[in-house]
Amino acid sequence: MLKHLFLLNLMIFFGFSIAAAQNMGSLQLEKEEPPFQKGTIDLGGSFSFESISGDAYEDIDGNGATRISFAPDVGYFVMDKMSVGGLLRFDSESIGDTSSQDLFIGPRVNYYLRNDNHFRHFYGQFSILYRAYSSDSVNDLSGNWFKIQFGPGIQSFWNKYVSWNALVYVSMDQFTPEDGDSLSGMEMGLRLGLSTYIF
Amino acid sequence: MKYIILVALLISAASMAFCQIDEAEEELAEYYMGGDREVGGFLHIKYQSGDIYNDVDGSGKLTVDDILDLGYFPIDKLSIGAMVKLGIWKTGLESSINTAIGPRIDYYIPYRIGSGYPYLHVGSLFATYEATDSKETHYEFGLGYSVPVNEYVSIVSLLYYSMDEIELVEATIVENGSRIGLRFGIKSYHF
Repeated sequence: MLKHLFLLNLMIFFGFSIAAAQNMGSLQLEKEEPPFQKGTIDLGGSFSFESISGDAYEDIDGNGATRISFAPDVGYFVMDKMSVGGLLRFDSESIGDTSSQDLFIGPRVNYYLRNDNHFRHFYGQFSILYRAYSSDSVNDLSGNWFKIQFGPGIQSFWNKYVSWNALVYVSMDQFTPEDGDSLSGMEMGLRLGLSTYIF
Repeated sequence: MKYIILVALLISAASMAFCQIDEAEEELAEYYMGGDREVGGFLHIKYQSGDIYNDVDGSGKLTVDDILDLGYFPIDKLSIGAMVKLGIWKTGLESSINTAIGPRIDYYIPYRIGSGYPYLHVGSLFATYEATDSKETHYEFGLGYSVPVNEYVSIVSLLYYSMDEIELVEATIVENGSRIGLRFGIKSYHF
């Protein structure tokens, strides 16, 4: 079951990427400016706020919960082919007297191998992330985290302003609990998503 | 009280919109047209290992998260779509799968406010959580505001109200809840 769902995931996303690429034949001709020029802004992210109540969510004292999630991803091309941006993710949940906060923040740099009207581009990404987690109820994750991430990626434009992108990354992680010795770990991953550009 | 405020918001927005449809018909003509497709989402697969992540058996952890939000405009200004969410995590000792799927309809009102357009949203989501052996059903409706950045990208916000039902299957308990929320995000249109 797990394998089937995993494969289905990959098929859906790669299917869309291939479909998008097939649509690029005519769009290549329409593009007048290369996408990775100095002054371009790349934009992504989301924000959500929820106030939830009812038997399903309230604690034993009848308190509802409040959740806030904030995850902007903004970059700016300081020179042709190089975008400098910031990664930020903040999640907060509170129910009555208990609450938890999870913050990721750090800079990232993307460097694109070329800047032309071709619809597919390779790039490299490097980022340093700091994570701070605190919780009144889950203590084993409370502390300070550092993550150094890097990896190659590919972007496939399906029109002038929108592209699919895939990034394979390796992250070296260090976690220092509030009352303990530092621990280390490693993460390998694949991210597929959308990028949008404002010229 | 919450219900009254939301219903009032929706009614007033709809009234304004339908009284002044003609004014914005022309401007809206270039966006949200029949035949357009919209898409959003991400897929994130990661494998974590080391002292921080390993379980007591010394195994690392595999996690898959994805959200896919697809829509199609069968006629001008009306988008019919679906959202699919999948979450998988697996360690050496245990694994869990969460799935959610549901339809949604967005209607873009031809009334321009500032540089954007309001829209009405109705949707539902049916979710299962293997780890807690539970099922969730969400019915939501709301009022959104979409600002086209260019012909392919819009910044969207949605104020919504959701009625939720959570069923703990093994314990045969059904509980109800509700939520009021505000979402901001980016939508891409593939013409």
